[in-house]
Amino acid sequence: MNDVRDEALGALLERAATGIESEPVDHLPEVLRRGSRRRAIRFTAIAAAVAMFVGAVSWAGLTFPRDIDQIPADIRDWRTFASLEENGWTIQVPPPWRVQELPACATAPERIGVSVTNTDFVFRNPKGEQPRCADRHVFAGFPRDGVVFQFQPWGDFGLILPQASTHLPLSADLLESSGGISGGPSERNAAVWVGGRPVGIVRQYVGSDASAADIAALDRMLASFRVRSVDRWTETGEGLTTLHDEERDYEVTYPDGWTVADENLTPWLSSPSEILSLVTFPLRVSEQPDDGFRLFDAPVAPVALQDMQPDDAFISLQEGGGVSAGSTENRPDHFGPRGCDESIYGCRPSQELPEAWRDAPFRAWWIPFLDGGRAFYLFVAIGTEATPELRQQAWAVAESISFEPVPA
Amino acid sequence: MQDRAGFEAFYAVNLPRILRACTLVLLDRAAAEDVAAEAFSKLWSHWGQIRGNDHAGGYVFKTAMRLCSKRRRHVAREVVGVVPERNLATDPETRVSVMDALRGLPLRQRQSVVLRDWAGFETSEVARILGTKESTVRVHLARGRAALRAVLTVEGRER
Repeated sequence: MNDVRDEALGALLERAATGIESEPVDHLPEVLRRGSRRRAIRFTAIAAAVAMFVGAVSWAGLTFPRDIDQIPADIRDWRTFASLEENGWTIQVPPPWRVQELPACATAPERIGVSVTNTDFVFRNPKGEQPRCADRHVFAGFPRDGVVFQFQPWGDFGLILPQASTHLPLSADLLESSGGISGGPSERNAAVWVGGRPVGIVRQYVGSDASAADIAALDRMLASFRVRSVDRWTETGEGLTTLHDEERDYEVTYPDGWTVADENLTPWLSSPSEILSLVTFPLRVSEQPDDGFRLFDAPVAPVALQDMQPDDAFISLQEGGGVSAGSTENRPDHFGPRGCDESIYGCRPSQELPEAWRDAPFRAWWIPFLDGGRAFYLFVAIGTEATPELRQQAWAVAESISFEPVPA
Repeated sequence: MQDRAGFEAFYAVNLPRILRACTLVLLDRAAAEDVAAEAFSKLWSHWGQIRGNDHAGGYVFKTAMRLCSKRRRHVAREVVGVVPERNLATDPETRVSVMDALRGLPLRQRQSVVLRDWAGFETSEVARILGTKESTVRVHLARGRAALRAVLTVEGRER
């Protein structure tokens, strides 16, 4: 478990913190002055904006930005078993369920396994012993209302054709049925691949009388399964999805109806390099810079832009390239909504574009910025007939992007 | 709870904790003072709308941590060696080594460890303060603790 308070570490931090003096008296007048001024400014701004605010909210009924902070965690009381750092994988477990650790294989000694059940059943191998790496499990006597999540690690057996990394989160429909155990629960499973190698197999066993609630908990457990070095993984809840990209060290949250590109839409582009494309319409990869709608020098997926309709939106994030600490602004407090005067395209036909492109059905913004010591370009394109809700969503999605800073 | 005396009492009682938390996160005493003052000024601007000291405490912690993130985001390189000499109290070696160890952590991990293990917030409260999900906090906690334990002599085990 890694979320209980670490008292020993806390004591060390407390010893370090104890020597940090505070001087409350000196700053209090300044705090009061700044606070009072801030309140006065706020009241004035509220009075000026209230009519516009009420009109906009009642018209569009937009609450998306607030929802980002209010995603309920259905499994917030669950325990964490294993850790990405030490074991290479982790899972969330309902507190009352029984956890039986399975030993690792000799070729990957850190990678333990686990069986989690809603019963007190103890798994053994056919010899009546604690199951070892790749051992069969005996289900004789397993309750009919029992369910099991199992992750059984695999060693590196060699001579295996590499396969693509498993896409996370796992869901029940990604598991394949094995036909089950004669007289026992049904079984579904899936091998987990990382970097071309198998790291283990995930199994679900469901007894014939298992309750719907236990099966739902089993599926949530499956969805919480994480493996180290699977660079991209998502969390979903209440109509919102958060994508974690651990290779590029960013997170972004987006609502239903948006799709993240599974691959780089601009493979010919090396600097800057595309790290995220997020759209409301089907995506295609551009084979070359002029394959589609090339928007000035903005190196954004030309074919995808060509496919964009007036009621769509498109966000692309690129890292590196010409932006640098000396010439680029830090990330603004908020992204958008930006006006026509700041757009790079869409407010007027451009004579620099082929005639067919002069009336492309969107307005676009190109925003270089620095964040956490890293340099980015944010591209936001919003269709000319996009709903107010979609416009709001586009900027809220951009606003939700957060980065892990470059280590000091 | 609109009275200035009440705010001043709250400020006097809570400033040391906020200042220490910000110092542990930013590792920069001057920056921590700025952030703490800004957080309390925001609290004062909302004082009439906030009920109870617990709510005010959560608000000022959340504000301070967000300001820490914002400040860190706008500083390309972190300022180093900022704990004033006069603050090296009874056990300077321990604190300096802890500060050095914290400096090796990414900001989110540092915030998670400080809020959970030093300030004692529950993981769900840390997630609320940092504006992220509890599962994400757990990941930051695990990584941060592992990194700290790798460079610090930490006695005892997690309970």
